[in-house]
Amino acid sequence: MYNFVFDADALIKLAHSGSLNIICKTFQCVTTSEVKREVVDEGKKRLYSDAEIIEELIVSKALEVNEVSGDTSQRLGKGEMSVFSLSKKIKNSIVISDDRTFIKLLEREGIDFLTPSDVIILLREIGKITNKDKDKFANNIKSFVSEKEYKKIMEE
Amino acid sequence: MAVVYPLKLKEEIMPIIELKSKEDHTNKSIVLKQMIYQSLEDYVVRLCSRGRLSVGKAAEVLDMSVYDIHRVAREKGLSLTASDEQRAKSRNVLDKLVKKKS
Repeated sequence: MYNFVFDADALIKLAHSGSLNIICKTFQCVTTSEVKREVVDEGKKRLYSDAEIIEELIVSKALEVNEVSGDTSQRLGKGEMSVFSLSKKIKNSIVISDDRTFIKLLEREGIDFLTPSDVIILLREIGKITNKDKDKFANNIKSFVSEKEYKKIMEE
Repeated sequence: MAVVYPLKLKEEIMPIIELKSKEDHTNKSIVLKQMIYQSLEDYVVRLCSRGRLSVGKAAEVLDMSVYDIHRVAREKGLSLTASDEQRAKSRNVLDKLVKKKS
């Protein structure tokens, strides 16, 4: 069983897509307390509704939160650094991120990663959602992704 | 932590700064600071889209939330996503997972 380790960017995009609930029920999903602070605490303070969706998943324990702090870095935030630390601690981990800068670090360290769009496609591939669902989720995050990426998901 | 930084400005721009300070009912230092922060916000979000700075770091630098960084990027027509090469690598991981499941 793989452990999906989420950064803030991926949680926000997948919550917005409407698929995060299904993902957390299908896979072993985990994040860090620093990411929780970024997406739930800061999000609620600024009245972003996706923060409530993520909080509900944490409360119901569908999304596990690990107390891992991140080192400081010139180019990466505390949340991303804590996800990096956690991914090294957990066996069979796959980081879920769409952050170009963070993924560069994952590539250098040989850590497997999936983009949020590919997690949605994975759900369809393993029969957890229909093609129609996949298109609906992709439409919901259309404004977050490039035109090229959007077209690619829709063509899948 | 705040730092004091000496700055030389062209005399000709000062009437504009003064005008804005009157319109906004604030002082000239605040107007200049707001202008610096506006262009800093633009630059930082562009760094994110080019893969030079993460979204989390941008939020820390600008004292914003990760949601705000995405909102600003959308307003500027920028997408904060993985590169084509990175997406191809993600695709390989996806294929590996699908193969294992089937």
